[in-house]
Amino acid sequence: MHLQLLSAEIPVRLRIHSEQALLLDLTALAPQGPGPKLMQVMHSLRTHLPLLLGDALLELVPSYTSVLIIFDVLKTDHGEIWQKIISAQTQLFRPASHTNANKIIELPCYYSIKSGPDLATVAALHQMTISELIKLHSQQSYQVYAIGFAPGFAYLGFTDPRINTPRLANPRATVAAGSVAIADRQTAVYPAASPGGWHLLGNCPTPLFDLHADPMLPFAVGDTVRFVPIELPEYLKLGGQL
Amino acid sequence: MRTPSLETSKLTGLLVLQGHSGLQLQDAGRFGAAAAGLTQGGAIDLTSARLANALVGNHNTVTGACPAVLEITLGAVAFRAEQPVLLALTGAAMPLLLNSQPVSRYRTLLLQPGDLLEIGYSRAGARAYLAVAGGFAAPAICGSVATVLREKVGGPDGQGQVINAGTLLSCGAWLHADPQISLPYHQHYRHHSIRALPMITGAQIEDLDPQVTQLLTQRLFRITARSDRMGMQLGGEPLPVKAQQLYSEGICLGAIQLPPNGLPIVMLNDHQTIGGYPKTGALTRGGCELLGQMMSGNFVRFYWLELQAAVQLERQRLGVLQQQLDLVAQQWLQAGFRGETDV
Repeated sequence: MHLQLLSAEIPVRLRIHSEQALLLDLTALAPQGPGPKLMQVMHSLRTHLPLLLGDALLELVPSYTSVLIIFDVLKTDHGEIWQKIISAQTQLFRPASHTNANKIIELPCYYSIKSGPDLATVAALHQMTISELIKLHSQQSYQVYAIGFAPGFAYLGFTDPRINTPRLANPRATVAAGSVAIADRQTAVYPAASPGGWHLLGNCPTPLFDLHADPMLPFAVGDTVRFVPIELPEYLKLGGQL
Repeated sequence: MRTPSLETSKLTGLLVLQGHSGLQLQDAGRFGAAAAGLTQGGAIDLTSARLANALVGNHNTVTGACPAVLEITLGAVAFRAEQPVLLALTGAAMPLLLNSQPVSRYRTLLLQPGDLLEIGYSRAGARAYLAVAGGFAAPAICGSVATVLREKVGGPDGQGQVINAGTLLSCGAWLHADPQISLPYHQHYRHHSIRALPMITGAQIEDLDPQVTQLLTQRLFRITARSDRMGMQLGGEPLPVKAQQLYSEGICLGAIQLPPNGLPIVMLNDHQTIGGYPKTGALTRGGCELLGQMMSGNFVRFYWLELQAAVQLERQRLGVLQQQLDLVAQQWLQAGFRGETDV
């Protein structure tokens, strides 16, 4: 039974991943690829699955077009979880948009050569001015499609096609914490100093990730994020460093 | 009465005389934080970690929380007791000296202040587990002290620092005689340099060339030196994998990834939380424990197991562990303790 379809109306597939893990494959819900609509379903799953599965649920990992469910083998099994999902399918996969309004998180970003050393290179690559690049990056609403690679690293998509940018040929050994970066069709904020291969456009001075906070991140997969350009005085006031 | 010097009176616990990045504080792992990008971590051979805890009388069950233990990869570590400590070593066969005298694994050992415990290179198996009565004290991050070096999380300081010489590990003190608890020899972990491990079919197996999945069960794969707590990178003749575009998705423990180079990677406890390589399925938790004990140069082969049979096998394995925990608890009762040490 490693592949089962929920129903013709809700074409969600169950994929067995291990004796304690199953994956809800939502690909067929979004034939054009992941987008805001699918992220509303993601938001609903993230909210309702923990209530539906109770303490048998160990871990929930949403990402782009799927949700991985890891559970306690002594408390439940794939069949039981699948039955519960079938019973609750209307609530899980057809969220009424007004009751499930996704959070919109606004992140301040100081776009400058000092805080975003690739700003000029990327603008030149796309044959536009730096202010045009900043405008295109900050006027777009992004969905949080996945969190991974490092704790708190969120893949935000998708960028305006006019600024889609390949990765750096030579990744940097160190990227400053808070760096706002783009690669391919996506953008992200480096939550901590780390090596990185994305082009850097600016810096978000508010700390995004705190292991000791609950929640650890201001957003989760399914939420919407926008970047708000700020000037140097506000950047420094918010704790930004140069 | 002799007055202790100021320096020694400040020290309590177990002082590390020799350590390295493979000496880590681990427990059952970190759960509920994968959605924020934190991996599960935890003892690779959790069964051996639980047995070590049981031997020293720490409360333990077959699933759920596990008191913190030291995971020792490949060996070569040394400690000095700065207080009376009751400890036990399980898992991989590492030679063990207490004050220069060889002592046994899988039994309680009582160290007095100043006693020296030295652990040599493993003769068989990759990971040993050292538990102390009363456990190790460390700050819990998301409910776990599990060390994940690349995430800078867990361990004695909570920040994932390597345990090197000079680290003082705060732990429970033992103020009684050695209760002499042990596990019979035939129940010790046995190393095999070649193993056939069961795997459950799943994930993208329907989308992969059947020839690839067939070859996966027909070939022997070598454990390469590039293996670590993130995953076991296998060597051998590459499988004819075709490049596949896949949105990154959640990864579980034991997942068998097929990267474009055709050489499988089996994900272990510190695996990345999401990834985009196709997977053929996964090893069971028990299979991961056995694989994680294999050394570079050892060989593995895989065979398919139906999901129901795999679940059955897993429950059976936990049943055997339950019997072992009960057996040890019985000895603690006979030794005159209520089965749990008071800290």
